[in-house]
Parts: sequence; structure tokens; C-alpha cells
Amino acid sequence: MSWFLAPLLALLALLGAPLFTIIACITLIAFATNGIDTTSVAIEMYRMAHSMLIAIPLFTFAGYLLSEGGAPRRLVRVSRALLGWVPGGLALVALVACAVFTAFTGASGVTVIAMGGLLLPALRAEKYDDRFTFGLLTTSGSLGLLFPPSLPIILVAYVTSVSVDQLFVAGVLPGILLLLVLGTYAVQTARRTGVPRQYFSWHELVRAVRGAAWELPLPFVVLGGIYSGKVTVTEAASLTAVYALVAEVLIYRDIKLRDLKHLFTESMVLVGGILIIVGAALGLTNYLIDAEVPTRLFEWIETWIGHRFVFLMLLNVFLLIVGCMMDIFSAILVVMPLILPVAQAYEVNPVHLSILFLANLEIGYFTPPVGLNLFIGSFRFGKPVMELARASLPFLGLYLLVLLVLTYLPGLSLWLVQAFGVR
Amino acid sequence: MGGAPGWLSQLPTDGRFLAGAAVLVIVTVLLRLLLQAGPRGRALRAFVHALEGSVLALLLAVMIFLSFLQVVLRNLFDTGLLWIEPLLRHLLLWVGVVGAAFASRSGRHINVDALSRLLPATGMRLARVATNLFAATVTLFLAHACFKLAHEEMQSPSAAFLSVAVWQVQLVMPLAMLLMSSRFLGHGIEAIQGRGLHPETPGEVPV
Repeated sequence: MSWFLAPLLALLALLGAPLFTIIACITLIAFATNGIDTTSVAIEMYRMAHSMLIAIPLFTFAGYLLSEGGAPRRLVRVSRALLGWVPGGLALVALVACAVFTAFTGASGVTVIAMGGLLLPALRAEKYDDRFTFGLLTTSGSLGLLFPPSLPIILVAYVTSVSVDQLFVAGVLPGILLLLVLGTYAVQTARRTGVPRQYFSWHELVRAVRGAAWELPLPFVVLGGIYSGKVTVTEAASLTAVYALVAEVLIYRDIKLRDLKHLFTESMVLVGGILIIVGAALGLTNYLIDAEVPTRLFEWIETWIGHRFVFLMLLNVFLLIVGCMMDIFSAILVVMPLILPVAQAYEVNPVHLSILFLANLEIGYFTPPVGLNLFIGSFRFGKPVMELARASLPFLGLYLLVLLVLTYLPGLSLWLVQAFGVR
Repeated sequence: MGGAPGWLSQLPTDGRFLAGAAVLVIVTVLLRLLLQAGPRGRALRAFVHALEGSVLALLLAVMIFLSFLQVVLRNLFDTGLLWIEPLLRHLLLWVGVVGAAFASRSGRHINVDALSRLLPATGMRLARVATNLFAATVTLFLAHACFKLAHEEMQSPSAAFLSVAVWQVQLVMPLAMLLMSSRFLGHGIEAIQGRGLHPETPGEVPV
């Protein structure tokens, strides 16, 4: 690529050009300057018609349906009845509810909007410190990316050719560790600031569970189906969509039939936005691999870094920057295929690498200056971006701590996969 | 397998296609901008909007139904229909490009607009002009690339699913790209005129 094009395209990207046009432009120019017919761009784009990606529209639709229906409200009520009596209970509720919600909707911006609106007044009413509250709600939006059936996991599996079943299992322990660390911090903060405790009530728990009786089985149906190997990911996505449709429209009737078409369309606009990036990125990736860019990248890095330890550290720094500069889907599609061969040359397990990649992008969501959730949070809570960024700092520290543990304890990502012999 | 009609397979695939497509896009945009002022233009716009939305909704509805049918057949009856899987994959392609075209009408593509948020109003307007004209150009070239692919497929048609040929499915790609190109160009011109972008539904989740 000529010397002036790269900064020009970077500028256009930062000014808000659709990312798929930037990626496609690079691909078109790369193909044309190397004498490859541009038809190849279209051939690669046609590859978006891949069986594994069928899960994406189905899961996205289910997520939209659940978030527009009363699912967030009922989910918060159940977790509150269960955890509300613990000191810092409501903060724990926020963490768990956000994690579950993000896993199912896959787009964490939706979590900040839907969950933030519900939890903000509740947390304030219980006299949680404002700064803690905003930090919690902004950062929890991406919590849950590591849990199945989140879309980013499916995309990572797609580009790395690691089996999605393995990744669905591999993300569980790292995700739980993150929840535990953040939960401990939440409890400590609540104790220190003297947040009053709630009483536990069997009565309320029974009523809350009864209220959500049709939605509570959903995670078990989906995860049970996937983990037992009885259904494929696509089938699980289909079941989720039908289940959510029946629960929200026919049983709870939170969503009227006449609003349904709007939801069908809206969810597919988001899917179109993701898939067109997939289509454009496939061409670029293919070109970069044909041009042996990963090999050259490795040779270049190898002259500087000898040991895997150092490589992993620099990889984290690099991915954090990627995570806060790029959106998660293009990062997975463009950067992951480049990193994968390099990491393999350093003998990093692909499953471990995938988890690290996702964990970094999870953090990138709220890393200043351009983390997406900072902007969505600022829009939702009516607070300046910088204030949210400051409020997120303690959480950022904890996320980074967990990231370090994940980086140097590959067992956390690999142990369950090996123990259950997932393939 | 369905062969392509003569006029379609005889369309040029070289630079002449690009030139023709560019003219088509520009004429469409000018027509739209002219019509937009009147009530008839607004009605047409609303109609296209509703039509596109319905197509998207229908595609998803078929995907949900067929994938569910497949689950039921496989798990309860231990059988399956061979054509469902390829059909689903091609529906996915359609959802992808039609959804992307829909996203361009209201500027809802995934982007990183870190810089433009910090700009003053004039800078923001210039940024909108530049990015939209850029996007219009790229999608025009993509339309060309996609048409060449479909055109190659026409020469030796193969089946995508049932008796539908691959080229018939693929034609949606250049069409959607042309539509996107005209929309980006339209937004660019609107930005030059200093008219704002009106999101279809305010308060949409910016994901």
C-alpha cells in the first residue's frame, strides 16, 4: 500500500466512514495492485453464506426480543430475590444480570442500554456511591462476552477454525473468575460505604421465580443442549429464537404482534452491519495470508522477542489498543487471523489465544478514549464520557488483573476443555 | 439449471459496467433529491422503507421456521431435508446484504467515529461529506466486483438449492451494493447542502 493511502484511510475511519468500506477499499486496492482480479473480493464476500454463521441472525433476534420484552426486569427481580440479602447484593445482581444478558444478546451496547436503565435507579435508591454505580454499569456491559452463546465467541471460532464447542467450554472458568473478582470488589465497596442490607424473603423469591418461570429454563435449554452435544450451535440458536418468540409474544405478551415486524427488521439491520464486515474482511484476510504477512510478522517479531512470556505481554498491550480503537467484530475478523499463526509459532494454544483475544476486547469496550460502551453509557446516563472513564478506572484495574492471570495460567482456559474431552 | 436471460449475460463486465453503474447511481440520487420535496416523493420513500423492512423480516421469519423445522426433523424423526441447509446459507447472504443496505439508509453502519465527535459543526459536516462520498465510491467498485462474480456464474450455472441457480442468488449482491452506493451519495449530497441525517427512529441503540 502506498505511503499516503494508509493514513488517509485511517483518517476516514476515524471520521466515521463505515468500517466495511474501509476494509473493502484496502482489499480492492491490494488485489488490483497485485494483478488479482477484483472478482476475488466478491468470491470471498459470497463466503459469508457459511453454515456456521447462520446462528448469528437467530441469536441476535432472540436477544432483541428478550431485551425489548420484560426479560431484563424479570431477570433482575429473580437475582435480587436470590442475592439481595448479601452485603453489596444489588451490585452482585447487576454483575450477574449483565453477564447473562450480554451472553445472550452478544452486543454489549444493548446491555448498557437495557440493564443500565433498570439498575441505575435501583442502585441509587440503595445509596450506592455514584462513581461506583456508573463504573459498574459502564464496565459490566461487556461482562459475559466469555460465556456462551455470545456472538463474538462464535465469530472467533469461525475465523480460527477452533471448534465452537471447545470455546464455549473454555470461556466458562475465565468468565467466572472475572465475576468473582468483581463481585468481591462490589461487596467490599458496599461494606465500606455502609450500603444498607435487604432482608431475604422466601415469599418474594417464589413470586419472582414464578414471574420468570417461562424464561428461566432458557439458559438451561440452550447451554444444556450445546454442552451435552445433543444440538449444534445453529440448532441451539434456532431453539432460542423460537423459545423467545413463544415466551415473549405468546405467553408474556410483552411484545405486541404489530411491533414484532419492527423487531424482526431492527435486529436484521444490526446483523447486516456485522455480516457485511465479515464479507469484506474475509477478502482482506485471504489476501494477507496469501501475501504471507503473518509469517513475515513472526520473523520480524522473533528478532525482538525470544520468549513466549514476553510475547504474550506485548500481545495483550497490542490487543488492548486494538480493542479500544476497533469495533469488536472487525477486530476479530481482521486481526485474529494475523495473530493466530504468529501465536502458534510461539506455541500458544489456539483456544487459550481465543480466550485472551476475547478478554482483551471485553476490556477495550470501556477503555478510554474510544471504548464504545463509554459513549453508549454517556448517551444513556447523560454523563460526560470522561466522567464515566474515571468511574471505570477501578474496574479497569481489576479486569487487567484477571487478564494477567488468564495470560499466564493457560490452564484456566484449557482445563475444562481437557477434563471433559470436548472436541 | 436456469440460464441467464440474454440481456443480462451480455452486460459488459469491464470499465463500461463501472461507468454505467456510476451514471445509474447519480441519476437515481438526483431523481430522489428532486422528488423528495413533494408529498409523492415522501410517500415513495416510505413505501421503499416499508418494503425493505418487510423483505428483511420475511427473510428472518423463513430462516427461523426452516431452521426449527430442521431441528424437529433431525431430533424427533431422525431425518432431514437436504435443501434446507444450503437455502439457509443463502438466506444468510441475503439478510447480510439487504440488512447492510437498510443500515446505509439511516447511517447505521458499524463505525468508529472517535474523531468526528470532537469536531465543531463545520468539521463534522465536512467529515460526513468525505466519508459518504468515499463509501459511495467503494460500494460502486464492490458492485462491479459482485456483478463480475454473478456474471461468471451465469456462464456455467450451478444449483444453489432446489432448482435455484447460484447466480440468481448472487445477483442480490451487486444490486444491494448499487443501492448502498446511491444512499451514501445521497447522504453526501445532503451533507453538502447542510441538511441533517434523520434517523428513522430516534433513540436507536448505537451498536
